[in-house]
Amino acid sequence: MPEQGQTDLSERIIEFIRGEIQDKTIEITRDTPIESIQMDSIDVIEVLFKFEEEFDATVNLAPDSRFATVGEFVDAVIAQVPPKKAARVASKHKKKA
Amino acid sequence: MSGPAVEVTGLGVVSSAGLSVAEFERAILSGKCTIGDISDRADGLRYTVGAPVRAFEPEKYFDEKSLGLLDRFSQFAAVAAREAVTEARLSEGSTKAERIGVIIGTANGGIDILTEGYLRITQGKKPRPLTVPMTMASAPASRIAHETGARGPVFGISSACASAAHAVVVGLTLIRAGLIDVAIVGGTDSCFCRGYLTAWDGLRTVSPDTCRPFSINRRGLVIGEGAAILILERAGRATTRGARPIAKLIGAGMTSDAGDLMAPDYRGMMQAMRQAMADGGIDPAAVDYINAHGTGTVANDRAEARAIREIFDSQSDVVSVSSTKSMIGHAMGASGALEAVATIVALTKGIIPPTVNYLGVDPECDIDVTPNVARAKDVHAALSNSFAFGGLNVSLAFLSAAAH
Repeated sequence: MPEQGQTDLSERIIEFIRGEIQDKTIEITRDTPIESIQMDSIDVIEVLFKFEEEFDATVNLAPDSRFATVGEFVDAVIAQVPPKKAARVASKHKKKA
Repeated sequence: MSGPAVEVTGLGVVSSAGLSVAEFERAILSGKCTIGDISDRADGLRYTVGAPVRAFEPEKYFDEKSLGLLDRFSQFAAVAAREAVTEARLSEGSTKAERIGVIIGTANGGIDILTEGYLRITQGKKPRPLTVPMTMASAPASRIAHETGARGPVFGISSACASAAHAVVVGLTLIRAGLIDVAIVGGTDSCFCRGYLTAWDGLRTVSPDTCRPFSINRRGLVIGEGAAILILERAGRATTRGARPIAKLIGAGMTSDAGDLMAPDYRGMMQAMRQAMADGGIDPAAVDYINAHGTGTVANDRAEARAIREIFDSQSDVVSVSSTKSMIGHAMGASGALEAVATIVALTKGIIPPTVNYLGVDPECDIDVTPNVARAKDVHAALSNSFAFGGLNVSLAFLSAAAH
């Protein structure tokens, strides 16, 4: 299980994903298959851009990377952020929330 | 001419004179000048007039996600293509997707988003993540292929103000060569971002009052924008699916002055028109109408009038000429396609659209420019000229659908 700070980041990334995909009503959890939400390469680029903008982070993740589930994608994004910075951005997000 | 005959079977327009062919046609035949005040965008420049497509509301045509993928120039082209494809009934019948090409001209590419991106950098932000695919010159062609399912040759073409005309010629050539059956061709440009308007100010060729092609006291061109699309196809196909040939595209000429970057050479213009007529198998005596490039600059109009005089000689008083730019400004990479549509309007309606804002004869442009008022005339054959900075010249030869 991810730690609390990472859970906050996960939720925020899932919000970004929801903002990009066509069907806004679909329920998205960590276990949701990427294929079922039809997230294409453009959606990935937009999600990564919004994440970088909001958290002033740099994510080096190719948009054509393949992930089976939303959780895998989210973890791959968070893994790109150094742990100390991840904690900082998580607390920054928490303050905003 | 070699290869199969080519017909125009669909038209689409996004312009300052209307967002459909019908609106555009009404406006240009009634001599409506759509050039107006743009001081809200051109504050501090030497000119404050232009012909932007103010009525265009992107959200009427695209969902939120698509809007995030398309610069304004791609939006224009996609909307014009929808009208043209609908008229040609391209979704009906048995045209193979692999046999449909899309070739779209643009002088500028996606300058709105590019400019916005640089502005964001100066503000310490990043450009939009999709800036590259939004601004590439092939973006409109790619979008039209996406919407129509065209799977043949799809690409953008750039030759400044002759871009659309070159795109038409390439479509014609691909059909004649037997490589495709249908070509979705035309041009598009969005021209009213601040950076672009300021850049034009530096060239000192933009008129401070209005566009008066071939007229005395003309003071330059006026910037316009928009898109126009033509559906070209191998003759005889359209009727089998209930569409109709609107006109025939019988020939094209392309030349380069290989000289001055900005000063046009009448000999290059003349040669392009001669090639177009030879390619179409018609003599100058057969030409009823020339839709001129007619920018309203002193140099272009003088050179173009001379080229017309040299070719048509004593017939110069008989052949009708007009400049659509007097009504819609210079739509840059779209102009050749918008003016091809105006040429086809003259062929189908038997009416020559006028050159408006005309104040009187310039002795160096002593040709019949159809001053200020449209004129009824049987038009069987017509030329449409596009002459670009860099000395790039294109002339297209059209014939009415009924003519042989």
